[in-house]
Amino acid sequence: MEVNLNSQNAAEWSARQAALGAQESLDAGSERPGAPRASRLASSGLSISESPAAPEDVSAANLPESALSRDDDLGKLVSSAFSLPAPPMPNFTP
Amino acid sequence: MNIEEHYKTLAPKLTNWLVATGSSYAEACDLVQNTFLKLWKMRDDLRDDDAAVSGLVYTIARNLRKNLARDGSRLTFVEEIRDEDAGSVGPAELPSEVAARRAEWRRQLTAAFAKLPPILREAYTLFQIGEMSIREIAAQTGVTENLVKVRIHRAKEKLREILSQARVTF
Repeated sequence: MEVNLNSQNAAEWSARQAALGAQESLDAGSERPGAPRASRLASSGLSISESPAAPEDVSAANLPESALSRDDDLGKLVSSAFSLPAPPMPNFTP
Repeated sequence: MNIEEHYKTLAPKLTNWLVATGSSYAEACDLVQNTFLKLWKMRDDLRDDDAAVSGLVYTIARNLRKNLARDGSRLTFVEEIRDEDAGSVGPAELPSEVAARRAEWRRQLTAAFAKLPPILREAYTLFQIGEMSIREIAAQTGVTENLVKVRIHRAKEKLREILSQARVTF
């Protein structure tokens, strides 16, 4: 019984390896439509190594000088609108 | 800096940040006072680091507001401040027409902020109203300084778009 199971497992393993090998060959051949090959992605402007968060970080280098100004027209409007006085200081006593 | 000095520096910014991000003026005032009462109770454990205290103040205020919204937990009553005071008081006793104009801008801007994605709103309001540095915002929000810069930039672009659609001129 045990011998039979092992034999069966070995046979399944061999079959999977063969299937994987065939899949890798197909991927390497580049002609399979579903295969995400680096060259195909690159031609469409994408890269395999890009992570979803990366573009946000990268574009910080290209920000215009005015991007981080508090004194532009929008900043002045916001500062002017939100210039409410603070409440009186509470009495800090033990 | 002692607590009183921190209050003078941070309380006006925190009050306005709370109003800009959804609190009424009366609620903002209560939150500010309660935030500093909490800070004062923690005074022996505070580090001598202004940026850290600033971050802590915003965190306390945010948590107090969250608790208030979640379970209606009561704030310590310090002094009655009415919502109407927001329109009638301001720096150097503004003329009423100026105060009214600013109140209208506040209404329009608060509505515009509410339309921003939360991460953009937080970065921009902390930067412009909280007057925090990029580094402080990065520490407060747990992202890189570059990402903070990008978020502020995108928030400004989006805000201009929203205000333009609402025909707000400035």
